[in-house]
Amino acid sequence: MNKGKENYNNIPIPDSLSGSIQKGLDRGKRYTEKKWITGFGSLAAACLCVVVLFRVLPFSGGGNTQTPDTPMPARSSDTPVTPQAFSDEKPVETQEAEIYRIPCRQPANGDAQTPAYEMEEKQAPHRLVFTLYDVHDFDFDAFREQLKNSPLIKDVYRGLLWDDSAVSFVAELSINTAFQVTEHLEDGYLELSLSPADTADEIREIFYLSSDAMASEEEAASLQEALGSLDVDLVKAQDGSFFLVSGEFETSQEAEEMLETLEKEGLAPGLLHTASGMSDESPAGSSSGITASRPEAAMPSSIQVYGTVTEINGNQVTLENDNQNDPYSVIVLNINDDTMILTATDCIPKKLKDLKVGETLYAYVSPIMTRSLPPISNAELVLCQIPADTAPPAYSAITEVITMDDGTPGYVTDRDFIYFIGEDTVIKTLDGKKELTAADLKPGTKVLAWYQYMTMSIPAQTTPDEIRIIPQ
Amino acid sequence: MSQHLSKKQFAQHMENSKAKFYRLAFCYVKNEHDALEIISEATYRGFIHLGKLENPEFFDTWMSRIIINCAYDLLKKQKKYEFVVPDDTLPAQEEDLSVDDRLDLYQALNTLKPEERTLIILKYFEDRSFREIAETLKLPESTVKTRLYRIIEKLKSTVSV
Repeated sequence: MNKGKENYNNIPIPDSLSGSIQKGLDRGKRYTEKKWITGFGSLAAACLCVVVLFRVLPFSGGGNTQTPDTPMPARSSDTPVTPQAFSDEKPVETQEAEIYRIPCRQPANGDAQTPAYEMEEKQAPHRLVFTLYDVHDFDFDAFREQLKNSPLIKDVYRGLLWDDSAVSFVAELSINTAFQVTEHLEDGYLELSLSPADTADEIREIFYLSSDAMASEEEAASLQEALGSLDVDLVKAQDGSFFLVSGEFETSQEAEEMLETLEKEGLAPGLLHTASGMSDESPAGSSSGITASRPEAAMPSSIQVYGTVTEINGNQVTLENDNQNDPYSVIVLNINDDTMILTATDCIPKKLKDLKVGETLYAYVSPIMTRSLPPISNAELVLCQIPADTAPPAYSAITEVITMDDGTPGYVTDRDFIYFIGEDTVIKTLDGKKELTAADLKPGTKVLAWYQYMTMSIPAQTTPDEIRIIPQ
Repeated sequence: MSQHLSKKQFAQHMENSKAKFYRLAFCYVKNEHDALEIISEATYRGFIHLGKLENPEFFDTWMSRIIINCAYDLLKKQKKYEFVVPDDTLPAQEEDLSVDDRLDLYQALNTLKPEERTLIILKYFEDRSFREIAETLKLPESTVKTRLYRIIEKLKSTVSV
């Protein structure tokens, strides 16, 4: 193992290292200076306001004014009072910032590196995603009430929750809104300051990865669980539906490459697709063009996996195979009450206890799986007692019945196969006891099909020897 | 009694330990550009949170933790850490070597998750004790040991097949 340490010690140290450290130090200095200036600036602004107030309202009584301690924002609908009212100076935008307090404290038992909160600025739409850790007294609804009437805020909604002790929310900013977050952790809050920006926002197209539209936050949360450690967040669409989105890219190519990489690493195909939107706009919703770049092919309702059983633990069966190109060369199947376990030759129902370590299984699992290693997924169908000389049947759902140029009906499946019914094709019930006809192959029907070969075309085509229809 | 580092002392400490910090950062990204970015970002974070370092004696541990966090953040931002299949084109003569000799941990880092890399780097490259690693990662010492042995076993099994 010394070879590793030798390599480590031989990592060349670049000449620019000191420069990078200096860059970090300079940034740090600028930050602390800015903080000081901001503090001083706020004080100066407060003094100016007092002066202006006296000049504008020389006779005003004290009974109807907000107390300075009120955490409520200075509403921008109030008459803006600017210095040019009293001088010949050029108009200067000095509209006061709206200040909001967000409860947040450094965790009592935490160290310097345990974050008290995280705040990320995102685009499409322009939004701030706050996650507050270890916060127990945050009244989100009251907070939302404060913000929802602000012209600088488009919407406020809850974000994804990672665990019970954290609170996450999303604040969508109106166009040309500047923000600043100042930490007052010792006093138990963060200060969010919003103001009209000095310069217009640069509007550009943003590419990202997105889920399909979901009706509720709960649905989004369960998909989030399936996506595992992937960094995703919740976006509310214009029609009120929700999307899980990940990443921000300048080009569609970058987004596609990222999706490809994630799918190679185990992300189930179809869970996310590339999408785009303008940096200041929310996605329109389920009927929008957000899904325009999504492949048109129907997502298979299940994924085929295979391997040898290496472990059976309760209702979980671990399958392993030696195919290094198989993204699911190790996978854990969850066997539940809805899982069908059938023999591959006769479709005789079996039970979990009939499965043995060392046995080869083919299984069809849900594309929604954990991103853990190995991935865990719910099994829909497990085929056991795989014969050595023939292939196990293929499981699919008929999506469409089409008519070919010569008038032959073709049965399109969700696996991109087209089945043709030949003279010798036998169609039976699942148990094989009753013969059926091609008329029973309707869209939505799930079938098991045995065939000898299949064309290499896309979609692949075959005339199965036998088809068994799975009862709905 | 706690004694805070001054900004100047912080800059000096960074300069003194820069090679060690750079190697640590480099192991996560294996390229100069990103490693320098991690160092720059970590210096910035360290500078602005300097007041939180209670005891200057623990500067290295504290700064390592910041660098590790910056590396995780960068990897998360890039959302990719290449999962490289170990090189199986080893010369035939190496077949006779023991598993320990064949295990090049530096190359093996590529096959590990960022959290796993951290343990290997701190233990085998920086020769830190289990107690120091536990302190750096804020984990119980027993957890560090268990995780590390599990990673080594995993790596050994990949070279012994």
